[in-house]
Amino acid sequence: MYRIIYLIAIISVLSSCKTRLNVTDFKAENIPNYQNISTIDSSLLNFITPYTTEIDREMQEVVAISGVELVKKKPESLLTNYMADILLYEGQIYGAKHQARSIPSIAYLNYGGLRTDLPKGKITVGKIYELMPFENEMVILRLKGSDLYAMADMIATKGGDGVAGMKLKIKDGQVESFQVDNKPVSRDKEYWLVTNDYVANGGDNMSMFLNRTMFINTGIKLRDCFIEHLKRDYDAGKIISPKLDGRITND
Amino acid sequence: MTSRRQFLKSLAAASAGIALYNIPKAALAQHGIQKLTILHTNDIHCHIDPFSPTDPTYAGRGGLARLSGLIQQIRLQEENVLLLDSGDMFQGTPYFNYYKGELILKVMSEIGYEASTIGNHEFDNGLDALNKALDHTKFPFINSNYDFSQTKLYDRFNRYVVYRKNGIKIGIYGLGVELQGLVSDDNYEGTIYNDPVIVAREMETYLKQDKKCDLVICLSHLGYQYENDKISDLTLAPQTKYTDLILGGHTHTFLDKPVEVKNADGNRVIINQVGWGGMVLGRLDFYFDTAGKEMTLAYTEQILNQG
Repeated sequence: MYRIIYLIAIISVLSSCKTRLNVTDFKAENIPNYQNISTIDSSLLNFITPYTTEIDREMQEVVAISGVELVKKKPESLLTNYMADILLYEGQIYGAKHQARSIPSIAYLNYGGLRTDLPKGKITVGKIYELMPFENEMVILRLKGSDLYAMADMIATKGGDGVAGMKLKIKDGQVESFQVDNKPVSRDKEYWLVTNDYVANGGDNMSMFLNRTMFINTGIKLRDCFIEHLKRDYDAGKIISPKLDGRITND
Repeated sequence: MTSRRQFLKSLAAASAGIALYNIPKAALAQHGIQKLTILHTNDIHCHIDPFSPTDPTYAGRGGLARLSGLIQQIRLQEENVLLLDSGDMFQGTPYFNYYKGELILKVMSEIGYEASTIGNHEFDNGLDALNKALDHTKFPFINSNYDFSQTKLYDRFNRYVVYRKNGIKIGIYGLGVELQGLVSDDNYEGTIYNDPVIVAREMETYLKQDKKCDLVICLSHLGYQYENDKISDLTLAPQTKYTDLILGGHTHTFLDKPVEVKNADGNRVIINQVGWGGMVLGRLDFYFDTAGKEMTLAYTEQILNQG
């Protein structure tokens, strides 16, 4: 013990009287990490194998069967419509259970948030992770009709998007007509909309969502919510078979 | 020799289970030039495996499994290596969804990371989850501008760390990005964000003047550059005086090579950032003139300070 204190004392004396070293030369290189440059560390690979095996098993679980290939396209598509419909459905269930009068009548799911198409046939958990790699959460917003028009204008600018509960006619990049519940949207009325926290915070140029008059963060991860929804339908023997319904048209 | 071994042992025990790395073979005095190799990453985002061969942009690139191979090669060649990270190792692959922060911190500890700062994504599952994940790290997390004193994480971070590599004394402090608007409020509740510029000035002065460090490194998660006047590595550097190197993150910036700018005294500050996902390893070799100086402290030491 005394020896330790003695050594520490020596070190502090040495370091207190030591002057700083000067850098005489400096070289730098940002080395790209790909197979020609480096080899995989096999001991690290062994370390993670049990974890990878477990994840792979989970990722291979089938959660849905689709009768058609779901491809994303603008202005509307089987994939964007189907996903937005699920979001609206789940948002309404949440609203009905948790916030008496916060039942959304429309859903907005940004086109860029869907990262792949879904195949015909078996759909696995892994595929849903590919489709939605982000950790976004479901949020419900109360918006003025005038801000919904701003949203519609942005959808028109983008040439289409993932929506549910609305009917939008675009002509020459402009909104020609815009309906919710089969009625033209009133600028003075307020509407509940379900979406994700990314766009609710102004992402993807959706800054009008920041003008909300109310904000409910459900704390539910969107991907988890979709996986649960798909599993329920799958267990009930349903096969995914969405149809285009002209909710967004672009002439 | 026995006493030195004992000393190292006690030092290891004293540093709260944090491993000592790279004890140099030669413990004797050396003259001339001493080389320090700094390796660094940022925004790993749980990329352990290389990107899938079908990835449209990054096929076959990145991931810590291969990066580790590269790091071990360099460690065989160089005596004084320091491996650092600038945060956001959480979130991005199913490894995070299934194992939270635990697995990536275990993997980084396994590779032998020696320090990291904290990014905004480390807050993704809230403070309790972060607290739990930090049980699995063997290297210190350094942050100087978040005040965690009102949270359960009050003793989880180091305000700074001083390392010695063969007599070269390296002081490291850390700066985190403003969390408001970036992280859900309840996920960082009670954490106070302090002005990075004021904190940087305080930490660098302390490390260079009081601690007499030969090299002062800032591990930053502020971001490289913004279009607006938000504080970034590029706007921080000219306001500093004693920071030699800023290793950045957050903006996923791929720099071809480190950028050199002038500090408030007209001296050089080096800034680097290496993309994300382990796609690039940053390497900086510093050569120190040790002529005429007795290099008595010829072993690796970590002095840990709870801030």
